[in-house]
Amino acid sequence: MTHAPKLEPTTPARGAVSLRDVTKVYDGGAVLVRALKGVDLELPGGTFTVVLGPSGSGKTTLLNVIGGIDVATSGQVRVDGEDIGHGDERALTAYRRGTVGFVFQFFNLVPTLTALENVALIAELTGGSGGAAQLLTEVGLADRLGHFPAALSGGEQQRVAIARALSKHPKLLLCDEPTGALDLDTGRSVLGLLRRMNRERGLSTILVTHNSAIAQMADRVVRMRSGAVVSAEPVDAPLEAEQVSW
Amino acid sequence: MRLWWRKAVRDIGRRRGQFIAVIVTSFLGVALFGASFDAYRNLVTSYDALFARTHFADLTVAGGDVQGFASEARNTAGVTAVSTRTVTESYARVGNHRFIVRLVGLPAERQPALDQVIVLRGRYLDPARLTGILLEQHLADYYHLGPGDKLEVRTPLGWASLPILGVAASPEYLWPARSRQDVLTLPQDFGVAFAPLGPLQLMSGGSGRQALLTVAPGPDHAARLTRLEQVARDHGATSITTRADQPSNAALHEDIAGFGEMALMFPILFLGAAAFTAFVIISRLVHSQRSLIGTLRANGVRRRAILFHHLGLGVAPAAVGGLLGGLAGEGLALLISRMYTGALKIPITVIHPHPLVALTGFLMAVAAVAVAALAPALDAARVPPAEAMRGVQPVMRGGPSLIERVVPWLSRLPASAKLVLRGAVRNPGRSLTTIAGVVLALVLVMVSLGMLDTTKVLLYRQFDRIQQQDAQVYVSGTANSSLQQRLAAQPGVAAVEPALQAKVVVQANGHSYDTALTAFQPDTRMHAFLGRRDRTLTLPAQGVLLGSALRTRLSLGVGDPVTLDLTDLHRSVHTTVAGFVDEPLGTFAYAALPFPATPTASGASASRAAADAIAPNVFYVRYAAGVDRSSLRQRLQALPGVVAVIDSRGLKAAADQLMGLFYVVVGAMLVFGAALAFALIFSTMTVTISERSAELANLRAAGVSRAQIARIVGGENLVLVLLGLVPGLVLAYLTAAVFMDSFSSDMFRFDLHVTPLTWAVAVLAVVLAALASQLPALGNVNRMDLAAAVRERGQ
Repeated sequence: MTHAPKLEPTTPARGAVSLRDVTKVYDGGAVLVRALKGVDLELPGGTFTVVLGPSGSGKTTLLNVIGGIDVATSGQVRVDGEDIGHGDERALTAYRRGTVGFVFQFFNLVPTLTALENVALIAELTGGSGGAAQLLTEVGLADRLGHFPAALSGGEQQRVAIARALSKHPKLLLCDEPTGALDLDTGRSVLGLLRRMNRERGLSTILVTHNSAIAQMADRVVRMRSGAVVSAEPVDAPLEAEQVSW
Repeated sequence: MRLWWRKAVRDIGRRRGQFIAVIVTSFLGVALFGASFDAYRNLVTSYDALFARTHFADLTVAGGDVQGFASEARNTAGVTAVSTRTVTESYARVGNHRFIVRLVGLPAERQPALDQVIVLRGRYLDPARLTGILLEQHLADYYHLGPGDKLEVRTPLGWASLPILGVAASPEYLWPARSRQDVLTLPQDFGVAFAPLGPLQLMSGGSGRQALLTVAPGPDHAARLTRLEQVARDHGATSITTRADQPSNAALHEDIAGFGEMALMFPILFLGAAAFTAFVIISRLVHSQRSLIGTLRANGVRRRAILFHHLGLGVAPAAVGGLLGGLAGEGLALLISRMYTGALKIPITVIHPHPLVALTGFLMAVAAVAVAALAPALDAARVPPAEAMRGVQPVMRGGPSLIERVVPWLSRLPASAKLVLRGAVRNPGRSLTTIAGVVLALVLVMVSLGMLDTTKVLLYRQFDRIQQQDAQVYVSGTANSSLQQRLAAQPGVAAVEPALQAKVVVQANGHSYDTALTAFQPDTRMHAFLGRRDRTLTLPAQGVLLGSALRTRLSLGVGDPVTLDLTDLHRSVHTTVAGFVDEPLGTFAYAALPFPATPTASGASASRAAADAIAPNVFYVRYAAGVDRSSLRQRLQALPGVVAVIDSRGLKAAADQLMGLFYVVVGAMLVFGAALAFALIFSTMTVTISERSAELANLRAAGVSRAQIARIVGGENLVLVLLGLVPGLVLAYLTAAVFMDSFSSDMFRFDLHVTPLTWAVAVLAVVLAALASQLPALGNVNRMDLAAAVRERGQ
């Protein structure tokens, strides 16, 4: 089994995440749901982290809080030293604009725009510097620029979503079950792409999944259960994506 | 079944804004339908009851051998009653005020067989008091006269003070029009009184005889009337008036026809909007619940149950709106009917609720929405269980929009602009619904604003451009030069011209038309003659100008021969048509003095021609600017030889006052139009937002601000509104033109005029409603749970 060499990133590492006693409580009316219970976590910049846990473990909530989609009920959330846990809606939008890129399970591309236009759209709306065509080439879709999502496979759509997320040059790439809607081979290729972007750009990547096989390719694995971090340990010899199997 | 219903109730509850839009539009459509249709029926029934009670004549004939015609009519099969009477006009005086009075002869001993009156106050005529008269109610009410008062009437022997025995209503004067041409006469200028037949015949010197008759109802009614009209012509009749053409009846039916038209227009607009809205909502609901429907089907739920469930989701709110609308419509109809009959002083009113109308409105609402909901309901029933259970969602096929294909350079637009352009038309059905909302709202707004503009232009054209005189001065004898000089010498009088006014029957090609002739001096400044497209015509030295309605009524063209029977003067003039005038009020004949003109003559021929000419009998007067019109009128009336002075501007002043009420009606229509646009666009926007929640949430997650999302979504909405504006304005204009034309007749000419301001107001009203309608949907975007929405499957 070939292990991935630990390469130095071609750009300085960014996106270091620090959580201190982070709690998230949802008020469900009759019931309070404690999705996160005093989470403490340190994720160095530039690492590829996989967050594992069963359904209801709080991994998605953790991603939401780090990504600024949701706000922690208490505790401290810092990204590259900046406290993002207590901002208002405008501040969180600015944070997501400048710092975070998201990749979701169901791609959620704009069906009325081509692949190129989907990537360019985010750059336009968030003041990005463009380069949509180059990004799509980097993710292996040079010959799919003018295709609409309906004409793309699931894997291709997810590649477009990744290019879209990268178009803002984020410090942090957050992925929520990015291979959940894909078959094995396609999923591997997408994971490989994410890993390559992480290495080439020094881009902190946090990938949430329930699929424990994927953890084998991570630099660090965080395991969660019932809203708490059970363990957060480095992986000595992460595998390449094509070696991962489930 | 209980849980099935609970699902339906919750589905509706979760989309209550959208379903409320269906309820509101259904309610408005049914309520306005019921109000207009029931009001129409109540008014028609009231008129019919009054006409039956008073034995309103089917045919009134004047001129020629009236007695001979009456005798022949009595022996004609199908004629149920015949009577004769005398009708003449004179002048009356109340204090310093003089006006034209029509005196209608009635038997003193009892009510006549036909055209009876309803005594409202006092008593009927008294054979023991042959000078006693009845006043028609409008005249009595205007001058506050009643039993015990007196009215001075000008007779051949001078002014006579006649005791008033009672006040009566007559089917001929529910709308106290002097003639079909003078439908808008003011009570201060014209009134009606009923006098004993014997003395009136003496006063009129035998003129003014009329025969009235009724024909048995049935399938032969119209044919019998037509034959009797020919019989009347054979007896030399110069005026033949059916009940339908009787001026008061015709004017009122034109008026209430408007209710009938509204009863058609409102349900089309509002129930159409309800149907569109229901289609959009249920289509979206079916789409979002495909996997659920598939699961139900896989578990054995029948297609029929799925079909009726989804059909019910549309029908239920329509039924609620229809039920409430039916009740409200009945209430409104009663209110409108009472107000209308009260305003017109109709003495017999039949005002009933019509449950059948409410039921019809209810069924219309349910049917309209059921038809619209059928397509998505069938779609739901056809969802294949296996496919839906696998959760496979139909993926929208993207592509450049039609406009990008038509205008290729649009492909260079930035992605955000293309997003707006393509987003606007990504769902053709929904886009059409938004556009339909814009179109329907524009129709409603333009019809009402168009009516307002048209009426204002009509009044301006009639009273500022065509009629130039300030007053008409009626004299005893002829309008001679010495009286003209005395009038002109009055301070405040700017100009005086003699003119000839005469009742005339225009005959050509076997048809005839009752109207009035006015002959002006050739260079008159008292009247402008405007033809098609406002072309100014010159008063011809030879021939006559006729109202343009006679072009079709009498099949006439310029240069055609025509005969003018001056009925009161017992003369016929053969002349030619010199042109046609387009006048908003009435269809008249105009000629130059001296009238009748003869071909160029000289010497003895010229003297004979002058002797044949009919002497002018009225003066047209223009006042100086700023003069006290009332006091000048009094001074003119006080001059010897002056019998009455009619203020020609009084009608315009009255019309201007009525415009205030018109603005209220138009304001209501604007509100309805805005509500229509709001309901439709609100529904399509909220459905669109919910469908794209994942897509929009992703943009928000990527750092796109709420304001940017609002601009994108609002921009798509605006594109659809703009797409709807052009066809909407075209359709609105055409609808308004047809609507106005439906009111046009020989009595009124409503040529649609729409000012630039109206175009702008209509567009602005609809655009503002559209912008307002998207606010709730944008609120939903702002309140979106990003964490949940980003994990939804996009659609």
